[in-house]
Amino acid sequence: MANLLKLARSLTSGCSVSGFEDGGLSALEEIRDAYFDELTREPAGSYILKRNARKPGLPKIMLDAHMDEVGMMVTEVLEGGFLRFTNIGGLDTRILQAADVTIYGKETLYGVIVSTPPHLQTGDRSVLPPVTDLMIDTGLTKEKAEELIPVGTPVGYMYKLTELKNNRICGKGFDDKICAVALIEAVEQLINGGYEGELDLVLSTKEEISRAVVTAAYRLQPDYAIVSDVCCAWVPGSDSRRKTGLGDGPEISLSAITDVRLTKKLIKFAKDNEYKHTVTVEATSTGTNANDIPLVGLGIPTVLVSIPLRNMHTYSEVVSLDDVADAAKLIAGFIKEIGKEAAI
Amino acid sequence: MKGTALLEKLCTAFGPTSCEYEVAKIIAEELEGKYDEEYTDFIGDRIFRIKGKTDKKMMLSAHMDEVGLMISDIDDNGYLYFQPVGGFDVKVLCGRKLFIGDFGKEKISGLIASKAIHQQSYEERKKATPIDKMFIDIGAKDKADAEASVQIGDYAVFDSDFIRFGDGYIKSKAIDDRLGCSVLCDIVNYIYENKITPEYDLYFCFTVREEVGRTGALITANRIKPDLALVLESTAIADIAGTPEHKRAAKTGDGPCVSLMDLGTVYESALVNFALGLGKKHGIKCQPKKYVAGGTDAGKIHKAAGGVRTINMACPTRYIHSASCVIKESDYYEMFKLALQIALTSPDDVPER
Repeated sequence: MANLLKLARSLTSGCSVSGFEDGGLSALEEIRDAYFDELTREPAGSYILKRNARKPGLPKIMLDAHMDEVGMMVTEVLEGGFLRFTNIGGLDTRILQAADVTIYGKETLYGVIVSTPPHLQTGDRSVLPPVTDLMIDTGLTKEKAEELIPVGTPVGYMYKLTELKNNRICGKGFDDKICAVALIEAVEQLINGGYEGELDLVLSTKEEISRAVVTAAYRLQPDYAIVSDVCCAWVPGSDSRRKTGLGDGPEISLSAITDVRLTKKLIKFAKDNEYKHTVTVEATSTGTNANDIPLVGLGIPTVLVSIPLRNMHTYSEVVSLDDVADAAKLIAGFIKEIGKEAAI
Repeated sequence: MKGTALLEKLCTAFGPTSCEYEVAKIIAEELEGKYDEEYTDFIGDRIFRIKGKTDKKMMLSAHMDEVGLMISDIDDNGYLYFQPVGGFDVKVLCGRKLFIGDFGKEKISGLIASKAIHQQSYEERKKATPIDKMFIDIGAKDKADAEASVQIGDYAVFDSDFIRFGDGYIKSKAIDDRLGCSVLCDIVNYIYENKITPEYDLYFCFTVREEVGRTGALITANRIKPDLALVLESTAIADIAGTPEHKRAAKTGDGPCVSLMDLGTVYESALVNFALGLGKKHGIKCQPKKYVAGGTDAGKIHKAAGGVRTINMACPTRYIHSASCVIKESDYYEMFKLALQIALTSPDDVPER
């Protein structure tokens, strides 16, 4: 668990707002040195960590988790050094006022999203202003703000990772870097278990906007793709049909848009070998990269393994490290399984 | 410790209303040996007296409590429900990280949760979640697991770092009113270090329960029966882009506000002019607060003990009662200087009504 927590910290602490996934490079170099042969970045921005086959004849497997997270972009510098901004991805406007943010300008700066004092609020106080009506307080003069924060500067939630009870952690960017943690853990288990096939880990970009993973998948043309993303865990008030809760283990997504046969094989494998998991039906869309990878090139058989997460798209996303460990175990086990078959 | 270093220590302390012990402890340690007499009453108000040359009493007051939440229920899934202790804009609560506990108890981490944006209806997305629909997640697996860490009646306060940023700004939780407490400590330290005997008999009062009921200031004023009171506060302002000038109330960087009127009282104009005049005379920045809103302990003190002449001075604060209150550091020091001038003034120099 200590390793999972350390990885979660190093992957979520930097800038990875969609389109600006430039923060965790030193962490990725460490990961390359530990498990992979090369680290490259393709034109759409995705990081590809390649581990070449140690033995021919095994299928080429692509693992994908997206590196980006929702955030903001500066659109205008106003009097008093306040910034207008727009959202990058689906921001939850309920959590923005008086929130801490990090401005990735020419310097990395602290900012706070303004909240209107009660004496200036009129009408229904529970109405949330749209994102484009909010501002960021930089504490800088207008001149200094213009110098340090050009229009187009990305802004992210401020990094702060908190440990809760029962191996559960709270922070920003777990959508989807916590799944990257699970995939790296799976790769480590496979390597330690002597697995010899090619493993390509894609840390893809712009999932929240345009799912740019397709370009990496196109370059790799793998035999199979395993996508890991987060799914909304049950909380009070959730749709009663959504049952997967935190701590229930990874959720396998059964969808007509991914690969039903491969997914059913995964479900059978998980059941037969008593891997902790749940199954959910997302008949026509998973809302993840797993929708797009099957369409790449001549088509790629794809499965989606999700990690339950609470408060998605906030700076207080909550996941269970037990679920992360269980997802890693399931994915590593399944790769060994499909590796066996293809070798025959 | 002094200045904004002390402010940081005080802001970081856990001290919601009626649970101010941790703040009181820091203050008592800071002031140890620097006063003539000390009182503590049954609800936890702390009074430190520095004897003056005259028998005229001045009450210098700041409240120790901060806005917080009280845990009111724990459900079968291990989620905590809460009621606000003090006034909150509901829009600054959702998603916030918290420390939960009570005095003398280890604090645990949690956060205010609610449904993810993906699970909200179109209508739900446009409105803030009401407080009675919010809940706190501490990572508990079920009710028994939560009850092992939290009891009903425990408090929660924001888990928010003290950060210096921008052009001399500070952001923190609990600026309201650890700032007043910190300035009072600085004045005691100044008097002690410079071996000054003040003209007034000074009572430095660190009160409890301002955010709910204002009980502490009232019974403290009744105990002291001061001739003059100076309340040090933090006050909501809106010097933010796009706000009409007349609604900004005051401006960060222009020094402390001297209140003309709020929802608790109308201040005596002779005293308002006295305070602003002292600033002018000594080259200390200060400004009248140009908007009537809110209230402070002054609303109780001026009516205590048969009537007390009261001055209210407040540091202009953006986003007050949130996890990220913002002040300008220079305003802190201007407020210290002006409050010090008032503390050291002679009763003869204070204008008659």
